[in-house]
Amino acid sequence: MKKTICIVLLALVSLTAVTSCVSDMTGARPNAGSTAPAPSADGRAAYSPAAKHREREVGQLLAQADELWVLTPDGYAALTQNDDTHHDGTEMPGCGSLITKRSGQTVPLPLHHTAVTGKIVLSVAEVTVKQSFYNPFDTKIEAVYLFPLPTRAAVTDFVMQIGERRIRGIIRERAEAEQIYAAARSQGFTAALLTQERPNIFTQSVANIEPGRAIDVELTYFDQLPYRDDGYEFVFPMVVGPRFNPPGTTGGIGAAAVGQTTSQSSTVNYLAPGERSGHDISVSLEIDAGVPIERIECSSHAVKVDRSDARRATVELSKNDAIPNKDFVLRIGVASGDVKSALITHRSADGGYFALTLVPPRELQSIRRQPMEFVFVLDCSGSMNGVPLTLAKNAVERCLRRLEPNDTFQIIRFSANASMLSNAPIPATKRNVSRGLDYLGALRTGGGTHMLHGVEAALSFPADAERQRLVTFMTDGFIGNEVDILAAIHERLGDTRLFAFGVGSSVNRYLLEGMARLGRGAVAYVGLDESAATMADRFYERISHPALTDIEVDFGGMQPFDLSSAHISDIYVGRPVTIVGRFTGSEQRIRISGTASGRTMEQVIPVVEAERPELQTIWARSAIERLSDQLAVRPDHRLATTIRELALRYKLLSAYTAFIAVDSSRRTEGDHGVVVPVAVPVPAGTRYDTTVGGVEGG
Amino acid sequence: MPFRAASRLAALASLVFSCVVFSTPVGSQNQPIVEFFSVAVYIESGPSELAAFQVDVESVNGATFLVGVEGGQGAFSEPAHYDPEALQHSGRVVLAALSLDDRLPRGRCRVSTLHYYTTAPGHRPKFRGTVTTAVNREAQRIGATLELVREGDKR
Repeated sequence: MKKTICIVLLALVSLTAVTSCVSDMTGARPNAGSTAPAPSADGRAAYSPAAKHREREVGQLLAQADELWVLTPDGYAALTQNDDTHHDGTEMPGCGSLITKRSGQTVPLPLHHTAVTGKIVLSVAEVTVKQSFYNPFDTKIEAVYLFPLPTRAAVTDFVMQIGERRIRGIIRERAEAEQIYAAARSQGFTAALLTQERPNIFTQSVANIEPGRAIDVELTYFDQLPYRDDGYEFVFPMVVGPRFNPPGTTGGIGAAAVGQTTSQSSTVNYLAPGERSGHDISVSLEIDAGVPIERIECSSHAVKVDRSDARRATVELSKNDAIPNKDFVLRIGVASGDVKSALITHRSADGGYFALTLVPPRELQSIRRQPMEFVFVLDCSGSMNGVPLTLAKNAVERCLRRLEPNDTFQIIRFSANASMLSNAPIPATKRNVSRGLDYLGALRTGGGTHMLHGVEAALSFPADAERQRLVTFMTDGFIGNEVDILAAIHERLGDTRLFAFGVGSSVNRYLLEGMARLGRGAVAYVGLDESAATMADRFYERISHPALTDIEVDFGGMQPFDLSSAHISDIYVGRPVTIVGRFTGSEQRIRISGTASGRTMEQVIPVVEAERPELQTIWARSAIERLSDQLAVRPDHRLATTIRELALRYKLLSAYTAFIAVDSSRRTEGDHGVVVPVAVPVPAGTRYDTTVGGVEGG
Repeated sequence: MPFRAASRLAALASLVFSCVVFSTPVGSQNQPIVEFFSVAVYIESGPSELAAFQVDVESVNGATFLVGVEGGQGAFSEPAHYDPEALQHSGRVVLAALSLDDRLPRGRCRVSTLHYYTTAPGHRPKFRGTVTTAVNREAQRIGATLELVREGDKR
């Protein structure tokens, strides 16, 4: 509330000068001057060649100051005892304890805790993520941490805390922020830099952490929660899965063992099996759904739920489930009858903003679909080894068994290359379905994720004039060339509808949601502890009825502009859609119309005026997403300029902006220290040896 | 207005939007960063309790750029919020903060410390600032003055 009032104060208070002053800032400043060491050529406190050589020799992380870092469970018996067993009894990937051993002492690496606190009001979450860094060494360090956030998170605030002192970061153009950070680091000032590598992957860098000192960084974001299958879904990703980057790629997200680097622009270091970092995570949420909550489910983690009344609840992650190696997925179930189409508006000093939610009409459920052409595409790369491929196979099997006689189908697998069941889609006869099941059962994993081959195979063969083609993509999305995939889908989609199914514990949701958005379909996820059959049934139920298409909105006296989507996508049963935009004028009701199987449907929905300033942020984030989609398919520097200006104006992190915070009041002593990347576990259910440790890649 | 027409307008607006020449953002990209320094922001509210304020600080002779807004004393230990648009387009630092603390300050109080860098060698930055609004616990306006003190000049 405090912040909201503050923003209102900033925005609304008239500028009445009470008094002004002019100060001549001429005082001498300790530690200022020309004696500061110059930054290294690349602006990073990189290892020396000698250290790199020694690093290769020992195959472990080696710091500059003659200290040998080793990975050992010594002294961590209490932590590691029985900790490789999941709460359901299955073996977890090793998370070990990444520690450094110096003179017989053991200490953890710099990031020791992440605290996630959030408030969910209606369908919007405001979340603060506090990362607590600590330098356990006797030399200064720079901590670098690649971490995930929800794909549509609108990061709007950033605070660095040193002891009791809190410094709010400033949004700047990315290149400028990086320049400031490099200068502050080389001059010995404590500084923090937050950059975006993908819409769901970020880098936190903290420079000049002195020995024994703790530094916290907090970021705050808004997230519009999607409504899927009778509930809102809150997701907090905890680890970036190991990405595969096709040969020639340099702008990807590399995956490497501890102490290793890659040729990609960003690299995530992964702990080997048996290693564990001291990093843990807490999650605490307050929920006010605005309508009665029917159920709260968390299939990914053990949680404690307290219900204060029918529409409110608090949720806490169990301390026994605090290893950050999989997405936290919380579903807040509300009665479908309580979710209604509505247009919510907010007026600010710079104009009006709205969010339009369209709920599919109930009549859709009484109409059966026409015959369809189903194309099932399975990712069979190394990262899908084990449970993920089994889940994908189960889902496809379930769908195959529910096909109707007039449908046709095709199965495509891809990894290093793509192959398929038959030259063309085949009728869904019993015999052919049996053939498909045999083909499915024989699929094995191996090789890199050359997803472009899968996209080309799925979208390139001639269209069937009598059947709508529906492509379902089953993957963990562990690739670093997302833009190439999105561009290929945009280029080849035609009249096809593409549904994306994320399989695994830490799916690349940026890719999956982009595929569904550009594929004019929908997205769904199945976690390791969830039923693939249930997901398949929900999918089948969704496509068993025609979508509402050709949707038009008559805004009456409202004049909308800068909408988050150039067109309203088809609406499927169980999947309301929300678009946001800006407007002038006013209206009390708007009229929606669309068609389904040749029938025209109409709906009149109310316009609700509300005090929802977060709509401005959500609109700006959506506008950036739309512009980024355009940029993916049509490189144009003007689009990048527009994204940057929007992000600066609305104080949003983006690919072209970054948050920087510098404590200029005190210069730390000595050199700027060594870079210590924060190593992370591979996601639960993902094998280290087929992704990071092997040659196959994701 | 039908949505399809609106969509076309939106597309047009988007194109226009993307072609708009924004005013040049205030930044120092590609210029060497010479020095970092901080400026303490004090508000003198006399006998009145200070519950909320908005101040406007700007460099008189340029070449200074904001890199952090630190919280102040006591009730204002949480860093103030800044206006990104003012910063982007004019380099002005417009700060606002509100405290619900039981013990609100009277008299002279450091409400924030601003962290800057400069790109001009030997630059002696000058600032001017105004308290645009100060209110007490009852949201009544109170008289207040602003003082800006560079680190090293503190009294």
